[in-house]
Amino acid sequence: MSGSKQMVDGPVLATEELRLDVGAGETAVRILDGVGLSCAAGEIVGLVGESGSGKSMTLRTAVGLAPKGARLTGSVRVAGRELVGAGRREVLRVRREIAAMIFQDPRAHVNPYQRIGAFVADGLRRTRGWSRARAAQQVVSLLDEVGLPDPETLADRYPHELSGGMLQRVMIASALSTEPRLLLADEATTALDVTTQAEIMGLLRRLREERGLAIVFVTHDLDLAAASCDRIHVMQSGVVVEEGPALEVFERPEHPYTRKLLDAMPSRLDAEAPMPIGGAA
Amino acid sequence: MSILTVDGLSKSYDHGRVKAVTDVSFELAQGGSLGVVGESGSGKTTLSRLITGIEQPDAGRIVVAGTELEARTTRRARHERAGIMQMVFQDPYQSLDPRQTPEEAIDEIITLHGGLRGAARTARRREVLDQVDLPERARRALPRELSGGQRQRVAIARALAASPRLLLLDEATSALDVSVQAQILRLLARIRADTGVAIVFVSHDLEVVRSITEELIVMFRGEVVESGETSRVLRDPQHPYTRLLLSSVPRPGWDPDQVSRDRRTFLRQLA
Repeated sequence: MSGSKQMVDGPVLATEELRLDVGAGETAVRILDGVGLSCAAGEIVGLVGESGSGKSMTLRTAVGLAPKGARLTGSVRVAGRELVGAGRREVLRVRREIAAMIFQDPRAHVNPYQRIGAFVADGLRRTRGWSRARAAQQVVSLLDEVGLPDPETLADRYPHELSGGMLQRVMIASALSTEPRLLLADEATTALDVTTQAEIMGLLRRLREERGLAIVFVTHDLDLAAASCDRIHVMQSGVVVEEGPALEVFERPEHPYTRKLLDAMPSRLDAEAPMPIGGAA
Repeated sequence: MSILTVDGLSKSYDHGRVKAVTDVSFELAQGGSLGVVGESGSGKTTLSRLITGIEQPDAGRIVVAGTELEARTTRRARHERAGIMQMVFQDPYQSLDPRQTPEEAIDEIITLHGGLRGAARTARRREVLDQVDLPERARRALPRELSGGQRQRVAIARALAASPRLLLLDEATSALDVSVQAQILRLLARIRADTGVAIVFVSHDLEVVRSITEELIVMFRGEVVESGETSRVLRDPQHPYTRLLLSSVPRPGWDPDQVSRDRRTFLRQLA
């Protein structure tokens, strides 16, 4: 960890009473309604919900990616820095030094004409002003750290030559290049095969231990969250309806929505059982 | 009698260099349900494209309700086949006409495949849309005004409107939220019970396949590595790849590193 970084006690990410509204007047919509969550160094926190629950939006507020014209109130603190109401410089500083994000579809976030090495070097050259040669060295070590074989050769290849799982590893290497303390993963394994998903989850767990990363993991998959996270928050319609240690929530859900979500998991589903009460989607 | 027989089916691309499907055989009884499960590159999508006639096999036969699919088909043969076999895909948005309401879409199929008109057509349309529990208001809306789950209900209704004896569903619930997926799976189970339609359910998701099918084939690199009764295969998998797939499904106490080691061991033994 670089010495210039101010170490703060307490959670790396903490939101309190976070509200996010878009639109005005009659078309105003509340996307987040009082979201509170925290994630400490070395912790994996799951944010679980269906589409429209606000889980991805919550994640985005931690890197100042709220939609244009949205009104944000409450508090989002990243390593102690308040982002609600913060200026662009402060937000950029958080993105450059503290928080990094990975997404569901790595292919949408790479330039198909840029070699892997140059892509991963981008962050280092931009935020640290490193020379091409110095960055290139660091890139090889990052690609190695995320478990990619033969990193020197790989750095010269193009995105289309890599599988989805390999490309997600590249995205993680790129996210790590600025030595973040907080990694935000938005459905980062959803598009992957199950065996590849296991490899990426193993990697994230290792990074949590070795780097003491705080990881917020957004997923719709309660089984995956229960298997991989320390704590989970269950979200519905912009509200955290339940939170607690992952296993506890999984085995003894208290909120009706959590129970409904668990019952809908294919692992528990008996399609021939009578349809529970509730409208058609 | 079987509704679908696939015998020695093979398909390769790039002048035989990429073998997508190799010597695949199985049989599905009338009213039965078969899951086809595999990861990307397993050949499950190619298999589904071969069965639906979108692509032609290099070798092997596909027999649907006693009639072999021919490479060159007449319009009449295609029409007859559509009356027997219908498909539902992952993204209903792409398979629905954006300018057509569910009622119009269903009417078109009923006219085409049942020749019904007037009051008889209206009655049949109602029956089909009732079968998929599509809310009244959604029946006269455009696809873009419907939720993902409603669109998939429309796609299923449109398939059912032809009164097929076989439904092929290719990742038909993969893009849906889990609670909506659960509703669609329950809906399919009920439709099977009510109509006796046979289903082939192609999916990457072992758990989904478990909940909806009685028979299962597991594909890996174009080949069927294991087949049998779904519950038996998932309870007592015989092939190392099936075991690997099962251990990859996340659950409490899950060790992803162990899965990675098992995967490497499996791939090494293969080489």
